Amino acid sequence: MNKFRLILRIIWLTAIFLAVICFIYWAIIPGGKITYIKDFKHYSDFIGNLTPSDRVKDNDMIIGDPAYFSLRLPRRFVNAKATIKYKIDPLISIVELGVLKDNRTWQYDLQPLYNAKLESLMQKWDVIREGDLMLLQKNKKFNSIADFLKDTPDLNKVALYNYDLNNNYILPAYQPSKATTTMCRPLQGAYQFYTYIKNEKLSFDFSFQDLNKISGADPIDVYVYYQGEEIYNQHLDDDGIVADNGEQKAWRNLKVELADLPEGVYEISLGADNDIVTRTIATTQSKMTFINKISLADAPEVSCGLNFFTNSRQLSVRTSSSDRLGEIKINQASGSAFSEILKIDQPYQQFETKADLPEFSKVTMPSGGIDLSGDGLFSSSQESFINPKIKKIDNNFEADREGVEYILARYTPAVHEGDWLASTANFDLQTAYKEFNKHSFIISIPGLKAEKNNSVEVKEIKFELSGTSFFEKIKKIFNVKF
Amino acid sequence: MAQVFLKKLKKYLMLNSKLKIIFEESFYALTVSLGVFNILELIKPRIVLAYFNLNWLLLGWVIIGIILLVFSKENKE
Repeated sequence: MNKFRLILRIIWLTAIFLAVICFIYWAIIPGGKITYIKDFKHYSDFIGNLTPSDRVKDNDMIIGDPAYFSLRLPRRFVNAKATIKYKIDPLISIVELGVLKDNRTWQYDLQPLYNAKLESLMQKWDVIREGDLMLLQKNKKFNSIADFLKDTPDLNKVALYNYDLNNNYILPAYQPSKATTTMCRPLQGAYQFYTYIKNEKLSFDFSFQDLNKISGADPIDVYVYYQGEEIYNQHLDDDGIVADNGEQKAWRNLKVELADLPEGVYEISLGADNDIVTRTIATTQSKMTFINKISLADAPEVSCGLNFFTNSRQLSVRTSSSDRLGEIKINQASGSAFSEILKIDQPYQQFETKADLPEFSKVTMPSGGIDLSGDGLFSSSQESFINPKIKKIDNNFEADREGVEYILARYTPAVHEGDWLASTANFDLQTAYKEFNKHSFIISIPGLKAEKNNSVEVKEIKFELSGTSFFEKIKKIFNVKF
Repeated sequence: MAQVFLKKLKKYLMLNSKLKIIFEESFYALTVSLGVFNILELIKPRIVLAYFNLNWLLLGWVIIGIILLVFSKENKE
């Protein structure tokens, strides 16, 4: 063979071999660490585009809440450190980044990126920072976070952000009810509620209807939490019809009964998709308060009341049925000092209250088939309402109005880089939901709407991923001690 | 314009045997690359496409292939 030809062949084969080695190396990442960057100027195969298109302008400007993007991983990772560089409109208060944890209930693990309310109070109040925890005091009383936690002041004066403070909420005058009451407003999909137990059984008898309008299995899971810890769960399999033919079987029941529980607040979470309608909830508990949202199912034959009571400062409503358009009346629960009417005149569109609602309001729905959500709690009667939640710093938070003097937050302030802000959030990818090696991320900007002309311009999304290295994996397999 | 370019290239290739070898070896290498990278893609999707668009490789392969075909036809004549 010609010498020149031989040299050329060797060069080419070496180049191909090196290219194959590189591709395999980048796919298995033997060191367990890699960084992916999307700068919105060049294509990134790992970090997807911001979607949906009607909430994103020019690829990098978020004009509506929420926006999504995906992160494709070539292998398994344990942690992800996300850094986002962005420019924010001064009217926007909160920006959060979250990873999808449960695709049935669309539950995201949200981490703060920017909180204007906190950043503003940090300039005015006394700040104690310990790691990523911070305590803000209007008038300095505590010298450390440990002192604050040891001698927590009146919880009405405390607000939290991205932190769960163990709140031993007790109702001194509470008397258990002996009668069984039935909540007959049909609820669609997943929901969570609080209940209160004192010298009584925790007893809930749910009856479910499976609409079978969406293809796929519709399992139901009920979880019971006490002081943030899961204490019980029960699973109900699909009714056996996975097709989207609308065929319905008889209603099925799931009974949760727990005895000898200590006095306090319990959270019950129901995980199900929108094919599942909870027709009735029969309970001996007298307190039952839904957390943040209620989705009333479209069941015209039900003649139960359509009123709800809420402490939300802001409400939003939406219907997916053009037959369910109408007016929602919101009044002050006691007296008639405040009233607002929310008109739902289009399906699939979210309508929000304009003014701040009073401390406790009554919401009158025109019909079922409406999703009601807010920043507070909902109950079907005034008597069944309890509020064990400590105030959270959300979009509607005003420290003076709420009488808050202490704020405990897990928050790292955004870093200013010229006109841009840079924020970091850490995620545990082991508990996150993954489909086709892709994680779904949400950028939540409460209150951001295309028609308000506000926006968040994203300059860069960076993910620093870490997982088990090749060496650690071999060590694990052979259990070798070096 | 294209015809003039092809004619000039044919003449140049005939006079320059080293260039012909380069084209031939490049064609073989691109054929092997396409095969190997496609097998890699079948084994683990997006292993190559995440970093390199195989269409460029295919385009280069087609262009070199056409040049070699034209040249070999001219040689036979």
